[in-house]
Amino acid sequence: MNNKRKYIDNQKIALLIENYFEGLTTTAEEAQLRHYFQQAQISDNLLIYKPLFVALSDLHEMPQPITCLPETAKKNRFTSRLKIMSIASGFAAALIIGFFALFHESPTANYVMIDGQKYTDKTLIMHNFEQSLDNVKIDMNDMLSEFQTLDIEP
Amino acid sequence: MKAKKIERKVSIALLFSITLLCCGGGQSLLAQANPAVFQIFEKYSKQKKVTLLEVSEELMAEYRIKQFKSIIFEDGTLALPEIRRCIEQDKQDAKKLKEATADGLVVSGYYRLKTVDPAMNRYLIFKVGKKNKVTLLYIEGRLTPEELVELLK
Repeated sequence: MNNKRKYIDNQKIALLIENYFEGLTTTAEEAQLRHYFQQAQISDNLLIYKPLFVALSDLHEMPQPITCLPETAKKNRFTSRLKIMSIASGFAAALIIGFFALFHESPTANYVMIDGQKYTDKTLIMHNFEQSLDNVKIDMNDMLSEFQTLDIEP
Repeated sequence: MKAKKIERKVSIALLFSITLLCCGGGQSLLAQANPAVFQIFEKYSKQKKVTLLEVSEELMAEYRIKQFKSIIFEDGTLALPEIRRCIEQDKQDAKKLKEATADGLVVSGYYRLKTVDPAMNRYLIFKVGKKNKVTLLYIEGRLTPEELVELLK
């Protein structure tokens, strides 16, 4: 009776092995195979597979590699990413503001544009400066002039 | 929960830094908010019979001027309504040093614009000459009103 059962088991294991190599076994069936090859009494015709399934069993019992981070690590990673992003945004904002301020604050351009034509000649610039002032000069000799004095009181 | 707290703290710190930057670095920027007449300089700068001048401190140091801008229209008839509109706008926040009108329209005006920095002055000068020759000046610098008068004598 025992021999018959053993024979059936061996046949079943042989079929499972065949399925295993075909890639048709389920996780439970693979566990069954590993379990079978852990025991002392193994059919002679299946002994050849023992080293393979023992090795697989050992591999299975090894600690699994970390595929997902624990919750705290996730949070830390999120926080540091946020920090980096914040610092980067801060710098970007500072750069933009700085550039904007610089661009508007220090007019370095010296030029005169006559009839749409731009000139940077210093003499021409100074000549036009004098010309501009002449156009708005206060006539100090004209006693009736409204522009004799400016109300310069603060 | 902790991450949210940190996130909030970082956000506040970031906002605070940006505000500081804006207040510190941008304080002078705010003080030097461009007057409305600047749009006249920009709009008409490339037109025929128009002379636009822009001079920086580099050439104006002896006059204690940081920025000098002027635009002269040989015939400013078309631009005059817009110029006057801009001047009206700038006048609202300025001290009128002198102003002359003809037929209810400003023909010359000397204005001192407000600044945050008390050591800095900004002046806006406008004059309509013969044949509608229009001159518009913007002067910014440390020169006092007295020094401006000397310059305009």
